[in-house]
Amino acid sequence: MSALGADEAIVALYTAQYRSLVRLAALLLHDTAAAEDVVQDAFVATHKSWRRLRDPENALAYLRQSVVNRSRSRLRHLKVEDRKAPRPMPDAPSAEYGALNAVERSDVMTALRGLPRRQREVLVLRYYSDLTEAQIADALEISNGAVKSHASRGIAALRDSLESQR
Amino acid sequence: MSTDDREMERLLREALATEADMVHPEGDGLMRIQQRIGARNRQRRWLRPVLVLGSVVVVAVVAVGGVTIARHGDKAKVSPTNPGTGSDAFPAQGIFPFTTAAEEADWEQQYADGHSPWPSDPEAVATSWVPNYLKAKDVDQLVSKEQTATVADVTLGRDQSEGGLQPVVVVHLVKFHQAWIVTGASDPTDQLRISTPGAGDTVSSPLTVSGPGFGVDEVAKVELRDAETPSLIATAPTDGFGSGTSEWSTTLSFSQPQSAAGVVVAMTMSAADGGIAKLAAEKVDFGAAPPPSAGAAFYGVQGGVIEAFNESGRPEGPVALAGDEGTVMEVHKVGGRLYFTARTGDCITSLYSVAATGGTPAAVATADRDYGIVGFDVSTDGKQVTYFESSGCNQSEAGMGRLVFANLAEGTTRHIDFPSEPPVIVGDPVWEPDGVHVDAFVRTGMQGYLARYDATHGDNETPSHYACGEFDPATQLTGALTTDADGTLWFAGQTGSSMQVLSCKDGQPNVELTIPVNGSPTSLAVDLSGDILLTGSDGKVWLGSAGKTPAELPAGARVSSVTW
Repeated sequence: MSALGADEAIVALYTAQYRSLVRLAALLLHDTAAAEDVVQDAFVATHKSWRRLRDPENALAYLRQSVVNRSRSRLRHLKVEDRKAPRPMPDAPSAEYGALNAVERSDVMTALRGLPRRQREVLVLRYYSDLTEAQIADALEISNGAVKSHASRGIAALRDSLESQR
Repeated sequence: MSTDDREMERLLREALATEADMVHPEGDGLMRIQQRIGARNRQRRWLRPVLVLGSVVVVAVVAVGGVTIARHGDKAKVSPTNPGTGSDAFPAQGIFPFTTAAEEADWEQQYADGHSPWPSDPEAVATSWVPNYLKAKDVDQLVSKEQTATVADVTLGRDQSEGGLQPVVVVHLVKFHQAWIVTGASDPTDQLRISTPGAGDTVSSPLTVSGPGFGVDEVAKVELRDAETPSLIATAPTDGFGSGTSEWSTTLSFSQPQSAAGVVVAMTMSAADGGIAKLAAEKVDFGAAPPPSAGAAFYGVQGGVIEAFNESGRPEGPVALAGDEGTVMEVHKVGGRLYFTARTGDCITSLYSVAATGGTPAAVATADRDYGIVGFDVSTDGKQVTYFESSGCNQSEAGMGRLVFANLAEGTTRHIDFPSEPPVIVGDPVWEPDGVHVDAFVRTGMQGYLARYDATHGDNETPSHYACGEFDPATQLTGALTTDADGTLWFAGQTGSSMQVLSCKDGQPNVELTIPVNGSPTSLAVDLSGDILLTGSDGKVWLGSAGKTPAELPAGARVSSVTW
């Protein structure tokens, strides 16, 4: 049993994970303010469930799952309620970010957003969060095999989509 | 993986990293989280010591469990009552799978024909009852079994992630003829017991439930359930019970159900993972059934709620639901209960049941992940449901469907896959009264047919193409289907200038009613005397019967689903 109380655990998790979780949610939602809301909700829920989680490793998995689920319902809500476009993330100059130019990056992100939800989630968790197949399966509550097939179909679909744009 | 794919992976990784680097969270995240946690705790200050001390309970029980059992050893076993009645009288406290000798006798007949052998096995009865009827999630692992010729105690437990298999409940059964009947259940350590009401007492609302418990600042949960269907009637937490053994108590309010028997369940939750730690249960009687509510001639869905309508077809007021199930989409009445689907997000994810007089709805079935329930039906005995679920409600996924047959008594489901839509089932699949066959209108693009499925086969069942003789509905059927108590299939269609209701008597279609309105039927209900209710896509309700001129009812606002 962990020696950490819920309050201390939340501070420790916040320090280590808040920024990367907000970025994960922002990639799924394409909206920074909504991403912060979602992640804060997930932290509050984790605090509430601390008695069941007890362990920082469990808590991180729970947090991640909670962020993905809440991002998904936020997207659905937007889609159903008013179909208003989420506030886009700021466009920053790209020169300092290496080889990929802004046009290419924006093409990849546009193609990514066009993928079915599951494929998009698997790709973001794998290529941004660097999770293993098992961790992704856990976060999305699907099988390892499904992770694998969503990932390979997602990559193929991205490639097709980019090729058709050129 | 091709070079192209690797290149794509590299591009994606780089694009995601770049995109993510541009996201800079505000600096006040922690403060906002802490404020919200603090606000919640202020609201619920009284809960806090329980939460904090909760983890101690497990330790205390493990450490002194042996002592406690010894202390209560003299009155430990709440033995099955009336085990000595043998096979002559049906056990007075019989809960499951039968509550009367007549039900058991029906089963004996089926059993003799080689069907449904499970009630003859005490372990199968216990493992069906606890997870499926008491809805005690995950409590389905056999820990031990003690059995004589007439009495059995089956101990079931739950796999707790770190603690291994934990015993949760001892189910007490007695043998009646060839069936094993549950007569109650107790906590394996006998620390949690129900002393009021007594087993077999006749109860009414408000009902005070109390008993001894053991723990440190523990809170138990009490449920009153229907004995005959897996339905929750009422639930409430107990007051906290303090150090060591002490008395807990709570009061339940409920509307009197139509069924005669109920089950009172008390349970405590594990501090380790929130699952059920201990469970005790006993039978109660509800006395004479209440008269059906005077004004309700039929029910319908109006403005997202279930509305009762009087004999002249005017709305009498909504059926009061204590939960927050969302917007009601469709309703069917079976044996004094209303079964309904409701929507909270994009998809209709759950099917609920509630007493026709209102109360707290209980979830009966839940759609698979990413699927939504399109249409459903409940068998006449309330023990089976069939529904068509579709992923079409989730716009980012390709349309796939599944026709599901769920046996609530056995906790089993079978399904038939519709891997791409069309073909798709339109409207409700409907049970025939035999509880074996399900009829449905299958649309295949511009065409369609009336299919008849065998629910006991499932998986790769190929339907009989026509559920009604050689009748080929081609394009005119709408999916407004129902079966009446005699087993006759009824369906409604559109003919261009009117709506028609057809029955399938003697295996052939007969036009029973023509409604001179050009519309598409959305819902159909036929009662014992042959009175027909129909709703159209315009939300109007029509009442008619064979050979008589139909009348539009003064239902007021749009009605989207009707049931007698």
